[in-house]
Amino acid sequence: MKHRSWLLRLFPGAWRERYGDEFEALLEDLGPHSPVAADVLLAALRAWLARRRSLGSGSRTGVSIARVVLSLILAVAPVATGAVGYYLGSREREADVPTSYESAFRNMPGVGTLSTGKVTVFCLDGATGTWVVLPTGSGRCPAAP
Amino acid sequence: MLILTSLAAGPKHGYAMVTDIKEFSGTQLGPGTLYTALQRLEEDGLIAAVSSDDRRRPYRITPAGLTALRAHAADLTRVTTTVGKRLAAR
Repeated sequence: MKHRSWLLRLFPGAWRERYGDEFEALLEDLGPHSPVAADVLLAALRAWLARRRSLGSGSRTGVSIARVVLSLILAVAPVATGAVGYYLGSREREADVPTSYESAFRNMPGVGTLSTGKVTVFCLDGATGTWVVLPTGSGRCPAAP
Repeated sequence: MLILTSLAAGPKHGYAMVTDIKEFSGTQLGPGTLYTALQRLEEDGLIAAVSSDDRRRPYRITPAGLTALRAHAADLTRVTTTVGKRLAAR
């Protein structure tokens, strides 16, 4: 479960010293597939802000703010990367549908999985050359011109 | 209040609190939310950590925590009583 240990580095050192071990144990207990990144990010932000308040305004304030911003970037980067990757993957899967079925299923219904994960029946529109989703209950594609 | 209610049944560590709270309230507390609340409750003296060799450190409710929980429960009772009366009048 060490792959989630990096989340602990988002918190102030004093917080990690006090709660780090038990927090890491909780992350282990929750399992690798629980969506915790956003929740942990907000908690880290609160911990830094609380620490800044406890230290008062002074020369350390700027350092603390910088750490908050850095923590934010460190936390958001993997999430954003994952989202972009998923988006690009979705686009790629959608783009794959026509090319993989076009030659075999012209004028025949095809069955595929779009980016939503929903099974969809579609046809190649001979007039426009684009793929159209077949209406529910309709088992035949319109005849090509 | 969810955490205090959970600990009113006895000391628990983080994961035990999360599962207990989910069971009795349907609320799924994230780990960050839980520990933000635990820190605040501990600083306010409403809960206390129980010494343990295990990484999964248990917490217990303090007498001040029980007092606060009773006050919360009384507030809720007043609210629900009022809701019941007003709904019955319609």
